[in-house]
Amino acid sequence: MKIEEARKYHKIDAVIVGAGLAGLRAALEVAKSGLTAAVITKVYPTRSHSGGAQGGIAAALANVSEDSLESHMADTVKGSDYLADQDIIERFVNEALKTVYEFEHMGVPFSRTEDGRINQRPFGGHSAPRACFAQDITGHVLLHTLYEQCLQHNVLFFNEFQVLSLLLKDDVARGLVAWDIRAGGLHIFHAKAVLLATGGYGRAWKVTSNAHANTGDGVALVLEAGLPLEDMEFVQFHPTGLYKHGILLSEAARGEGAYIVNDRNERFMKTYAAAKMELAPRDVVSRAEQTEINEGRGIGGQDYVYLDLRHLGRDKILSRLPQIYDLALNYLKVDAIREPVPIQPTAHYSMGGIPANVRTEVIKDAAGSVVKGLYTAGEASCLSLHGANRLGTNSLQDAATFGRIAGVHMTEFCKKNAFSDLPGKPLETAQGKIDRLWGGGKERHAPIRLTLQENMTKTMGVFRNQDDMLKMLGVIKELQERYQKVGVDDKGQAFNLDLIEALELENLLGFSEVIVEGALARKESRGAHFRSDFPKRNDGDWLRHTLAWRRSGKIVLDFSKAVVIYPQYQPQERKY
Amino acid sequence: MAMIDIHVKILRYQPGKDDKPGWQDFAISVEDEATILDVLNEIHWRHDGTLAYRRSCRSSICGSCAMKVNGRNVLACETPIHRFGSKLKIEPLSGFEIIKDLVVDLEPFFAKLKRIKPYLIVDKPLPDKEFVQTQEQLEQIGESTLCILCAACSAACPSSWPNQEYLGPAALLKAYRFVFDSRDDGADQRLEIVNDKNGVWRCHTIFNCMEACPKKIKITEYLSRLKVKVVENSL
Amino acid sequence: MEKNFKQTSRTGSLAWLLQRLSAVVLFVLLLFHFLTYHFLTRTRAVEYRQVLERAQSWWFPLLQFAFLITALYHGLNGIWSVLEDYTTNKHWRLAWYCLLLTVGVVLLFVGTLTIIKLYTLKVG
Repeated sequence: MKIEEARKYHKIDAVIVGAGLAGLRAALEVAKSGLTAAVITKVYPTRSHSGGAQGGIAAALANVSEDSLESHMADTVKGSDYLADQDIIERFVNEALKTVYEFEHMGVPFSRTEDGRINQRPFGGHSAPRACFAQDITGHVLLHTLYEQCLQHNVLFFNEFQVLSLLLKDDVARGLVAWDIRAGGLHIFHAKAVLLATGGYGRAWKVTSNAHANTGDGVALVLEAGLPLEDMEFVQFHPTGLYKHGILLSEAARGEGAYIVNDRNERFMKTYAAAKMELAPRDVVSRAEQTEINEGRGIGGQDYVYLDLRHLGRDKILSRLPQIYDLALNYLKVDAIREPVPIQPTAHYSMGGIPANVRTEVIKDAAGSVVKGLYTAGEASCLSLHGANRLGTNSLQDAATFGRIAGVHMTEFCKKNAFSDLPGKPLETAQGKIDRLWGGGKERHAPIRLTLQENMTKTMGVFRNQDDMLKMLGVIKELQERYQKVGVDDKGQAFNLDLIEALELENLLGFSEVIVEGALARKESRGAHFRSDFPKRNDGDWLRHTLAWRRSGKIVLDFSKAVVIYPQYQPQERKY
Repeated sequence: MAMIDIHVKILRYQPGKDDKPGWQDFAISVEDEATILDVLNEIHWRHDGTLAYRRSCRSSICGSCAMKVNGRNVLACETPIHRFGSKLKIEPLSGFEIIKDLVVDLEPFFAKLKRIKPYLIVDKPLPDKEFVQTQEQLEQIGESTLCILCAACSAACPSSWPNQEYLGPAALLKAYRFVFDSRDDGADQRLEIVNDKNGVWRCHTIFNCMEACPKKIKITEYLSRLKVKVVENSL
Repeated sequence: MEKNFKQTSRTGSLAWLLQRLSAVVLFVLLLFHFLTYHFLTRTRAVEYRQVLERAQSWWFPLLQFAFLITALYHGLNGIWSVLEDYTTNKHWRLAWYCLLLTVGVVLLFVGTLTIIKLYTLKVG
């Protein structure tokens, strides 16, 4: 049977992988132009982890105090520890206001000022209250609103589909193959343009704020397709993860005035960032926390400190931070109105990812040559907007703004180009992955994943050093070998969670090696990447991006991709 | 923190293999602080890989893991086992077709959502900046925007069980959320849709939805306000 | 999935409103009923003559008739909405509807007869 005749063959202009803020925003843009847009997502769209974002979305609206685009740009440049590409930041801040007003016009229930305008709160590293928010469920309401807009504009949804391979040939994207989680079976999606908006890769860590779904699938697909990844060693650790669970307690708590204290009840941030205190950027606060813990000043000498909201008072906590209150109560039985909340740094945001240019086109080398028809946006991408460290509330703005930009360029591309032919044997790679797991050996995925996550948390956390990382590399190699013998218990077609988790594990193992290799090579400390053996930033050697390929089983690194720097934003010492 | 032994009964169903759902017992050890989701993970990862359930965020915001535990609809991720003791009975949400084990078919649920036009309908010209909306106007809809579409409400609603055509509490709450949004001009269209025996009138104020809602949204109250609005509009 | 839904029938709002209005009316009538039967009697015991006198005053049959109509409507409409919830087969629905209608008509007939009979009965 010819592929075109197969029942599970779909021919769609633009196929978007991932239904978070970036994916949905892109799909909406394409669908509004009259082209067909399909979103392929492994969870129902409203389950995407954009909904986990709490604190706000950054835009210099100046609704509650003076603010400017220049200030937003300068803050983002400095926050990134000068590794971000400034042409990207420029486009970002220029479109940020439009993005927020657009959201408001779609009906997002933003919290309001006294005079009925969008309210804004302070956030770490931002020099003005710039975070537009809806209580502490900003991501949730943005995600739901966008999903509803997509329903209105008849975006096609393929809910609960796991993408298994990209169909690329001669540097042109031609579609992808996905597994229907609900019913079983492989589907071919033949497309003119493909967007990878699959989110971050925090699930490689044990202590993480990320959802079970955040296994960096898009990142892994790109690596598998022989394309490079960028700056993968840069992963942000959020300072206020709920102790032991790693669940996010929004920075909005500190934006509203919460303190972080150690065992001596000291607001220790005064030693590390006297001017900004708790509202220093996340890398700075997380390092301070970990230092306190390492030096024995964690609560009772243990591995956590306190987030103290008590002085904010009951009303403010319940009206502005209700979700945080509920989380602490449900998971730790801590009543944040009366008690301080135990917290620890938690793997949170992936600054690295799939390299792309300002048009969100995926690039394949340091010179910036593009893969035709392949796009990326949101946390999966590395444009690089966030450089070595992202500022809070810039992520929702990033996903929405570059999601829209991706949609615009994909529409343009689809209108100008015809469908390219599918490569021969399109199902081969995907079918191979499944057959191997169904016919596999006695190893199981769960213990391998747990070993990986525990070791990543131990060695690839806030502080890193060469010895630990070399050991980690050994662990990964060993786990990759064990993975070859993994089989799954469940041989059924319908909702085979066993199969999905095993497939995700292959992705985790694939890119974790890149993270470690990149971090080993980068002999400096910059933003979220801190090496105890190289504690200083080194602009002379390392003010450049990391590109990493997998070639014949080995990770190959290239550091020739320069950082775009404007004359007025030259690197300086980074103090808060 | 200590380990405790618990006894878990799970309603299993594997399509193609089982004629109808049946109970399976597991005796396992978990930390006393474990959640229902931890229990399911423990079983799935160490005891029986074939168990299927939905989960994602683990922080009560994505709405994936609504299920019935000891007769109550809960989010597995946020529910500690100590709420129920050492004997757990876990089954899928009622009123939906089972795909496999704890996974139910939510397509009809989401289709109903789409039917009530869940998006702001604006006839007036858009302002350059934001619409002005007072804090009081926002307050009207604030709580309803918390809904995470977990379907716990619809699964608890006796009016929904026998009647697949009833829009159900979640879709109706969404209708409320837009009808009462000060920026919206589409109230007439939506009220027309919900003014049906299978719309808002099949709600008999049973309050089960409110009790089941993990976000503690006062659904019944909002549905009552919606009914009044429909009557006002149609008289 | 869409085909599962019929277009709006615009049904239900009137039934809902009438159910509530009839509840309010019933409440008032019930209050009046208790008042007249249990508190406004001139003697301690209920007397035949007294009851009959009241039954033959101009206002009593009107009130009783209103009571009959609202109670029948409220009760049967309530049962109908329960049956409608749990019966999806349209033939069964029709059957239930006919049955309820018949019950309603019969009870209305019997009730009306009783009121008339009381009104026209000669006081002995």
